[in-house]
Amino acid sequence: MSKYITNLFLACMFVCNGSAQIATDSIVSDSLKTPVKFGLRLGADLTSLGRTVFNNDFKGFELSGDYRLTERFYVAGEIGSADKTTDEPNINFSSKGNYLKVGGDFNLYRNWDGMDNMIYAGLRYGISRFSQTINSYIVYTTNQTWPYSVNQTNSTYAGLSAMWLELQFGIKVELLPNMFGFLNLQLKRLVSNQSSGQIDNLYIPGFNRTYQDGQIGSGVSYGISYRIPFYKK
Amino acid sequence: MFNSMKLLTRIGIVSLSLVLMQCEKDDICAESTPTTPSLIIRFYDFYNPSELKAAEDLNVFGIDNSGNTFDIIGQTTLTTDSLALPLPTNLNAASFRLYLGYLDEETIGNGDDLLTEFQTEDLFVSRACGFKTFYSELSAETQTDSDNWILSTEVIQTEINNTIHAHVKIYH
Repeated sequence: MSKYITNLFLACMFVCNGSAQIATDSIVSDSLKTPVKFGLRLGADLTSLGRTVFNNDFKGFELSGDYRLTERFYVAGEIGSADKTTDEPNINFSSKGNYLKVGGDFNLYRNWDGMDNMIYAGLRYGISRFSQTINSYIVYTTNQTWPYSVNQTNSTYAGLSAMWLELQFGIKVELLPNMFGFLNLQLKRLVSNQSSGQIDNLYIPGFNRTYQDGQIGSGVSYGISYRIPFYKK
Repeated sequence: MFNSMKLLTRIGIVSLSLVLMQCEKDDICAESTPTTPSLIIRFYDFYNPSELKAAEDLNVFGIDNSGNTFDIIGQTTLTTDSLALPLPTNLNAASFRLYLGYLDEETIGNGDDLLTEFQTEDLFVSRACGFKTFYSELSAETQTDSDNWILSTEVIQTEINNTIHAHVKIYH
């Protein structure tokens, strides 16, 4: 389902963008370069908003922002919160915490005059502080001849933290003046991972799910953002 | 514009498949993962305690709280000097009835009851496997009846955290 929403969203952005392009072409008649707008762009992630509304097992949000330094380079970051319950066959757990990602975006796309879209590669350094609660589990045995039961617990491991490096690939498209739609894919690698010692960190807010034998994680985000224009240059 | 888009799509697909490949092996508890260990019993010759001695036509049942027996090694008999018995994960005691010379349901041979007691602690294994039980303070003794074939038992390891070494010796 979410795949179709993503596709629809993407298609919409490029259709809107395409028509805007034609309109701009016909207007441009001189060789003078249109000044580029500089400003602070603030956005909201719709994936976490959607999951908060439609899924009972997730509550959270993510706000993003970027500030243009040069025509192609932006400082950028995200701040967010997640409270997620994961149900695996043998374990049910909740992860709750906040995260911050700081870095920059580089626009790989050379805009036509007067346009302000991005196909970008970004780098982030992420930090998350969170807690993990084991709600219930089953003891794994290869021979289940004795009666067994689901063990209910409520053991919370607080003060956990993780840091990671993140590579982003994405687009930011101006749909209306100063109003943008964005979509990005995130590839992450853990730099540090402080677990409780007893139990691995199975889900890290901002990093998403972890893997037993690896440091790699992934993510996707799409949403809308608004640029508060400061000046043109 | 569209060349960059193609490139971006390709990068996306490669990253996604990398992630998907990773999760498949993470979602199933591999058989090779050490999970809850069984109780390992080895049979020795009572009259020559350093020598292993196979128990012949052995069949083992578990005994639940109300005294009913249930299959624990399946509907087979074994002639072996080494036995692995699963222990309950949410109790602190388990009783087993070990029959020597069990040929069929008519000829059940000689049954002796082995009572074990232990403390349990559940330890995290992995996302896919969940937890395993670690047993400690193991004790084992045979209930005396009119005709015991088990002449003596000895706990040689009070902690059960693997199935490599024996935990209990039975002399017969």
